[in-house]
Amino acid sequence: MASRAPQRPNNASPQGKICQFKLVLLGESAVGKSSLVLRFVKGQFHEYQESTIGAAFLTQTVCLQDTTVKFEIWDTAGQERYHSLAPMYYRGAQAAIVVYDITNQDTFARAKTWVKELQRQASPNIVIALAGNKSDLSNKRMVDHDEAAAYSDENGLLFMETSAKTAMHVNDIFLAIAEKLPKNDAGGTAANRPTSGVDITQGGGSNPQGGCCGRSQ
Amino acid sequence: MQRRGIHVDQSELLCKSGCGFYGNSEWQGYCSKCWREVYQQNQINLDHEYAKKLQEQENLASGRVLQSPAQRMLQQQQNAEAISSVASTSHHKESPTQRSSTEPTSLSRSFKEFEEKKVQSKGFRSRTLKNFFSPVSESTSGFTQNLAQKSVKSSPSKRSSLHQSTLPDRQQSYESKRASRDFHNFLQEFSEPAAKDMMKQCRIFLEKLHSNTNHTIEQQSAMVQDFYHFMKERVISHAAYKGYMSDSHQEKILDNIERFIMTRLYRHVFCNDQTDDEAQDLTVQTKIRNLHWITASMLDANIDEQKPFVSDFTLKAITAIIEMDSKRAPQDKIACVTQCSKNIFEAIKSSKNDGTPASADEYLPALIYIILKANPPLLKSNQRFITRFSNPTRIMSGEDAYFFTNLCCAVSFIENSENGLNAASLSLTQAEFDAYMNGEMTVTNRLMEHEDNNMCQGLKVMYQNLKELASLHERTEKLFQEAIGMKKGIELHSKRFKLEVDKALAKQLSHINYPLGSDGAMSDESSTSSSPTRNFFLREENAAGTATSSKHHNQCTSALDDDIATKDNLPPPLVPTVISNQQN
Repeated sequence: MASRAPQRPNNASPQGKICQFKLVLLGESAVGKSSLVLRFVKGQFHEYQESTIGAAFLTQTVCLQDTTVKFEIWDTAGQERYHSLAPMYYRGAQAAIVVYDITNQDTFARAKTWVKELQRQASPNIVIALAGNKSDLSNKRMVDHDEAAAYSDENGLLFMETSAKTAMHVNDIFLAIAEKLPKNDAGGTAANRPTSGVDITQGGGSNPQGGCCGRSQ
Repeated sequence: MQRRGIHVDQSELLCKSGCGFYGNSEWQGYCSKCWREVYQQNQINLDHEYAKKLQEQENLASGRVLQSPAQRMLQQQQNAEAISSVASTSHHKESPTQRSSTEPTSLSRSFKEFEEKKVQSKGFRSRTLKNFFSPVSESTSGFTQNLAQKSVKSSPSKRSSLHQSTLPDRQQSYESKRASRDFHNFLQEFSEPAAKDMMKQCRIFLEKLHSNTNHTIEQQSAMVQDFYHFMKERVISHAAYKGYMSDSHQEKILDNIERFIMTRLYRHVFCNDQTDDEAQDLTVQTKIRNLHWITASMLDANIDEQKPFVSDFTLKAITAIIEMDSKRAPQDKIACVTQCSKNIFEAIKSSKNDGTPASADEYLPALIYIILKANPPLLKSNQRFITRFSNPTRIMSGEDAYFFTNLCCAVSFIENSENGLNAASLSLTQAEFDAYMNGEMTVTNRLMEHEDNNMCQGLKVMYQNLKELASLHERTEKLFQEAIGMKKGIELHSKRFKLEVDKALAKQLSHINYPLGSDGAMSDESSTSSSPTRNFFLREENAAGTATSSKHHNQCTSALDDDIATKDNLPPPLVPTVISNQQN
C-alpha cells in the first residue's frame, strides 16, 4: 500500500477532475448498512482513524481512470418509525444504496419499498444500487439471488450480493456506482477518454479493482 | 435716595403684552389675564415635546426587547394573544392553541398595551384602526389621545424615519462591533484593492437591505443568497482579487463575508416579526416540555446514562445544542450542531461494550433524545435562520450538512404527531401515550427511580459514599466506646485486684505480728496457707532459735492456749499434767 501511495491522485492532481457525490444508504436497521460502508472506507483510507467516532457520515475517494470520485456517504436510520424522515436525507443525493439482508425476507420487501420511493421522490437521475448483504451466511439464505437480480434488472438498478464481513463485492458496488454516475458537470464523461494519460488503467482494463487507489484488499 | 432707587418707571409696571393693565413680576411682567394665555400656550408646547419624547422611548424599548430570548418568548406569547383577540388577523392560525397551552392570562393583560406599541412601532402588519387605538383609548390623560391622533397623521414618514434611527443603534451591539473588528482584521491579510472591494460590497449590500424594510423574509433570504453568489463570482472574475482565486482563498473570503454580514443583519432577520417563527418556536418548546417523560429506551436510543462517561458526554451534547442560540453567524450555529453530534457519538460509543462506531440507526434516536432533554431555545427560528441565510454549500454537503440535516429530521420528528413522534413510534398504546401527555399517568415508580438514577449519577455516588461514611463513623464510635469500656474494665479490674490483694495482705498481716525476716521462714511459706496456727508455731520455733526443748514446749503451749482461747469450738486446753508425765 505504501508503494502505491505516491500514485494516489490526491487533490493536487491537475490532470484528473474531481467529482463529489452524495450517496445515501437506505435499508432496514441491522442489515449491515454501516458495516458495509465501514468496510468500504476502512482499510483504504488511513485518514479514517483520525475523525471517525461514528459511522453515520463518512467520505471515501475512489479513482476512475481520469476522474477522482469523492463519495460523501450519508447513513440513515433504518427503523420503521423514522421512515418518514428519509426524504430529507436523500434530497440532493446523486446515488443511493438500498441494502437488505439475504437471510431475512422482510428486509428485501422493505428494500423494494425504498426503491419505489426513491424512483418516485428522489432526483430523477439518481443512481440506485441494490445490495444483498451478509452473503457469507448463504446457508441461512432466505432471499434468492436470481429473484433479486431479476427485480434489479426490471427496475434498472445495479445489483450485487455483498458481504461486509468478508469484503466480497463491497468495493465493487461502490466502483460500479462511481462509473455509472454522470460526471458531466465537471467536463466530459469518464468513459470517453480512457487513455488520457492516466496509467492506473494500464494494469488491465478487465481488472475490476484497477480504478481504485490504495486498495488494501 | 434709596427709595428713589427702588422706584421703577411707570411703563415697566404695565403688562408686557401692552394691554394697558398692570403687570406683575411673578407673572413675568404680564397681567393676570395675559399671563394665563401665555402660560397655557407654553404648557401645550411642553406637553407636545414630552409626548414626542415618550413615543421615541417606547420605540427604542420595543426594539431593545428583542435582545433577550426569554423576553422575546413572552412577548411572542402576548403577540399571539393580542392577535387572537383582534378578529382581523389571518396568518396566525395557531394562536388559539397557543393561548390554551401554558402561560397565565394575567400576564397578557399587562403586556397587551406594550405589545400593541411594539406592533405600532414596527408597522409591518396590517392593522385595524381598532387595534391601533385600543391602548390609547384606555389611557386617561387627554393629551396622549391628542398625540395618538397626531402620530396617525404623520405615521408613514415618521415611522420610517424612526426605523432608520433605531437601526444604527442596533448595529452597535457588542457582537456587531466584534464582527466588524474581526472582519477588518481579516481584510488586513489581503491586498488593498481586494480588501477595499470586499468592504465596499458588504457595505452596499447591508445598506440595501436596511434601506428597504418591506421585503419579506424570503426576499431577504434570496438577496443574501444572491449576494453570496455574486461575491463568489466576483472573487473569481474581478481584477481586484488577483492572487486570491484559489479554492481555499475563495472559501475563506466567502466564509468571512458570510460571518460579517449575518452578524450585522442578525437582529434584523433572526426570528423576524413577519414570520411565524416565534409561534413555531413556542409550539415546539411546549411540545418538548410535554414530552419530558420520554426515556432513552423508549426511543431506541442506545444511551446508558448509568455509566459515568456517558452522562458526561450527554451533558456536553446538551450544552452544545443549547449554545446554538447564542451564536450569530450561521457557520457558528452549525458548528454547535456538529459539536453536539460528536458528543452524542462519544456517548453511544461509551454506552456500547464492543466499541464499534455508532451508525445512523443509533445516532438519530440519540439526537432526538438529546433535543428532548435539552429543549433548546428558539429551536425552530435557529433552524430556519440557518436554512435561509447560510451559504448553501454549507448545508448541502459535508459533515456539517449531515449533522444539520439530522437536526432538521429530529425536529420534524418531534413536531410531527402523525408520522413522527406518537404512541406507535414509542411502542406505547394510544391510551398510555395520551395519559402520559395529559399528565394523568405519571411515570411509574420504577421508571421514576430509573429516571432519578439517570439524572443524578454523581449525587447517587455521593449519597452512597455518605452512607458508607456514616456507617464507618458509627462503627468507629462503637469501637471507641468499647475501647473506653475496656479501659474502664481494666482500671476497675486492677483496682479490684489491688483491693483484693490489699485485703488479703491485710488479712495476713493481721495474723502476723511482725514481718518475716529469715530464709527459713520463706521456705516454709508453702505450708502457711494450710494452717496459720501451725505456721505461727513453726516460726515461733525458728525465732526462738536456741531455746531448750522443755522450755520450748512450755512456751509453746502457753502461747497456744492464749491464742486459741478465744475460739469457741475448740477442745478445752490441755491439762498441764501431761507435761509432768513427759518429764518423767
